[in-house]
Amino acid sequence: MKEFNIKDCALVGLTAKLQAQNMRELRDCIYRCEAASIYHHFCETLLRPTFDDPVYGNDFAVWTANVLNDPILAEKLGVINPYEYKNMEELRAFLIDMIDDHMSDLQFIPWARPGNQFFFNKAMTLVFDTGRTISDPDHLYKAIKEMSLGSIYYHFIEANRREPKLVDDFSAWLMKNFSENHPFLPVLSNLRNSYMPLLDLKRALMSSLHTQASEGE
Amino acid sequence: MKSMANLNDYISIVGESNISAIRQVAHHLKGSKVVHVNSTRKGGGVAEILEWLVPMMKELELDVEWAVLEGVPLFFETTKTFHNALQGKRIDVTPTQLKSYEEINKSNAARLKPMLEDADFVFIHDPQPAMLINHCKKKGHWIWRCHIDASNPHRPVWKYLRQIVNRYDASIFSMARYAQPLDHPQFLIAPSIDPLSQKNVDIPSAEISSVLDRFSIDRARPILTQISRFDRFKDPVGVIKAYKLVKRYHSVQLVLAGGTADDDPEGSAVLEEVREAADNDPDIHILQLPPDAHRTINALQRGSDVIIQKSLREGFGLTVTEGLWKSKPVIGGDVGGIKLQVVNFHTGFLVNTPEGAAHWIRYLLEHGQKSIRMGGKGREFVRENYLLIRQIREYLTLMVGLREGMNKLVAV
Repeated sequence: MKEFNIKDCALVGLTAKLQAQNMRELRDCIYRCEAASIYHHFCETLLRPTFDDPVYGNDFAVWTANVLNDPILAEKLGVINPYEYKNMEELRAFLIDMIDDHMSDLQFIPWARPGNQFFFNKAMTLVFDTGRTISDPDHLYKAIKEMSLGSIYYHFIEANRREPKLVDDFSAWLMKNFSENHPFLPVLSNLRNSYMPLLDLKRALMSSLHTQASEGE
Repeated sequence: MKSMANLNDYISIVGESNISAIRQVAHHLKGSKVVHVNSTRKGGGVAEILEWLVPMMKELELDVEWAVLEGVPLFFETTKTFHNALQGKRIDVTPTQLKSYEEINKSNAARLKPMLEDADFVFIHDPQPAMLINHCKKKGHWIWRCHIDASNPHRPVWKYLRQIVNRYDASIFSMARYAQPLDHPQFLIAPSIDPLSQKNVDIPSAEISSVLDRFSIDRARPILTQISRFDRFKDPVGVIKAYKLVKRYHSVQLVLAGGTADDDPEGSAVLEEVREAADNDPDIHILQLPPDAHRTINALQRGSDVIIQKSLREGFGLTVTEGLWKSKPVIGGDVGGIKLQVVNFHTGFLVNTPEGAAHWIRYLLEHGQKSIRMGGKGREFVRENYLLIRQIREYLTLMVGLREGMNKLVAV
């Protein structure tokens, strides 16, 4: 049986040197920006310092809703699961098409007030071994309780784009080393695509695993 | 104030996993020679950061030195002009001033050369020592750390500084909106607060009471507090206007506490305006505090029901972060970094007018449970994102990233 190696990741933001003042510029910047920037605003946004607890899971939807005051486009952007796309280029093409379609129905292009531009950023992520391991699924609850949010992000969110795709690392470990019907698997699957901030996600994981373990006793 | 704490002291605040993560990242930098250069050992935000950052990097077994530029009054007058120009003031630098800037950097480079040329990482803070790079052979990575809001600089001054700064391997800005386009990677590292400093550490309720008593503030009635310099951009007169609108419905008290204004002619004028607006109202407490009154400020913030930072223009707004850390909802001006920290119905309310401030102060006073929930949420946001632990982790990540060639994902 293989032990689960707990990794952690740390992120530092960088400017992507692009900014959008209105919806058309948003579309143009999405067309021109690095793929890393799209990834950052869809996925890494969870790891970035924020005081917000947004309804939408990506920065483009949040800005469209809160600054451009366009709830229709915000809803369409907000529902996107970036991990369902083959890569960021496929997602980029989809986004441009969506915004173009939406703008064709508008009489006026929505603008942001000065100072409320969308700043395109990206990030550099450092992944490192924590030196801690899990050998028994029964210890998963305690291990998650002690994990940093960087570990939660790496193993539960970022894992979606590694092989096997759309599966978190905990589930992959359980399926490979224990059982494809392990009782924790549905619990993990239910939370995998949630919009929750990382701290809430960690709490939800702990709570669900605890409940599942109690029912199994 | 200098934090005498070591990393383990923060475990009870941010958890062992966060401290362990810092040690793991730092392990990959063990023994690296790091030099920080700024223009003053004492006073000012940069020195305050270096006072904790340098010892903490040493504790993580990095070989760190902190060098301070030696200058003359004309040099500091010049760099003050740079500072103001970067912040948007239309002010030009004279040829004599530029000559002083260049000569002082040259003479300091001669003094610091062995240290700078031997370092693996050189952090140059703000424009004062920026030109050292022109006089040194680069062995390690040189990073320019800009602590200033350079979003709308006076162009002639920025053009002069830009050709110097572009020689660096990377720069760091506090927020994306503060950055200017440069030819190298521009990192974003937001400021942070030290939860164990005198300004933020938990203090006994008896001490809070004692401070409130000292200033004749009634603990039994709601307290609204704005901590800031007496500066028009902080809009203290607007805060008094908001207080008066609230006062019609609630028996509130207002505390306006800031540094002494003796050396600032404009500050004295603003203080006069504030006193006039207060009109001897016994429930408005205008407090001029010495620069080291950190614990008093701590007590005032903790004793308050609502923290106000109704700025008309603001950098990051660390007083907001401090208020949130003390579990207080914040009424903040809809400007600068306050917009990042105050999120309507989550951590407080953003306002544009005294009327707006009055409305949301009343809302908070009349919805006590919501106010408590928002305060709790604010504290958790600060814990996760705006404590110095996050800032040092980002510095270390940046250093590993630069050393490993700036790949998007670096596995170590």
